[in-house]
Amino acid sequence: MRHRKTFGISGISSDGGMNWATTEAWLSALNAANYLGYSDWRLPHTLPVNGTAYNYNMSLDGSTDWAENISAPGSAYPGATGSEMAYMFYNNLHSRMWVGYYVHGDDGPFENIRWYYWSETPYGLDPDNAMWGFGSGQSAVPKYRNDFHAWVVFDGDVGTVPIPGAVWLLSPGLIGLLGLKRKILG
Amino acid sequence: MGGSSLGVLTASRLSRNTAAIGFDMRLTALGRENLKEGQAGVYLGGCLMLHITKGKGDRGMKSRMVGLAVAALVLAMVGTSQAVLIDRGGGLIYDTVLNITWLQDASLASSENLWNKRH
Repeated sequence: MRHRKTFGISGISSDGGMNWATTEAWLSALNAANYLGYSDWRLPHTLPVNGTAYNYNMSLDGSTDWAENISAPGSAYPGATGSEMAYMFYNNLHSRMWVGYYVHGDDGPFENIRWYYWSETPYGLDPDNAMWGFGSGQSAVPKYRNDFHAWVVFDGDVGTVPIPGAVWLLSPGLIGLLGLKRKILG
Repeated sequence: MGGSSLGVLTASRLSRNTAAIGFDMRLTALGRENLKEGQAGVYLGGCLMLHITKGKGDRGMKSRMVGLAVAALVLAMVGTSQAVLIDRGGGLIYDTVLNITWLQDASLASSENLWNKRH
């Protein structure tokens, strides 16, 4: 058991599952709390796999946006980055789908990975649905489902490059040497 | 948890999918499906190393040096090509391909810290 981060939002299961509305409220609270020093957290987005327009016909080779193996190596659009969750699942975590079943790759550097996730993208043909699954492939999901999870991201890299500790350790010595030089020359 | 492992696979599906999954796992073992640019060099470099070090005497020594250089180059390439996910510390993982930073905890709102739990 650990201290869960609900940020005062109710309606979240002990497992972290929540419906779409709760997820949006939780995300707002996360940003208001400036979690880890960032206030631009968002859910991963689901853009068209072909880079131009959504195709909601079902496919198994990742050639459409309601599909298994989107962005997977060997799929119709290998390495496609439109669906961030798909890229995570099939490329970063090396997982695969086989007609409704999955072959799990690895967890990479991540922890606490769940099976169903929301993306921030509504389903184009029905606003009561939002996109993504995870282990079940990518599809539209009714927003009332409360067993989906939130895996948050923000754009870009961390903002600051930390100064190595060694520089701080060396600083007094360098200042001392400068002082010594002045003394000798003076 | 490294390499591929069989997730959900029922007995009825097993025979139908075994060949394909076996193929997939074989590729994973080889590392081919995880290959980024440069990683192919691991296998190319390995082959070169084996081939070149067959030489004898001075020629063999020179060949071994070349082999070592190739191996070092390949290792350097592997080091850079694997830098797709960079651990920035503090629970943040930078994804160099998507240019986004993921939270390391994939279910922050959960009160359970479970590894590999999917449902």
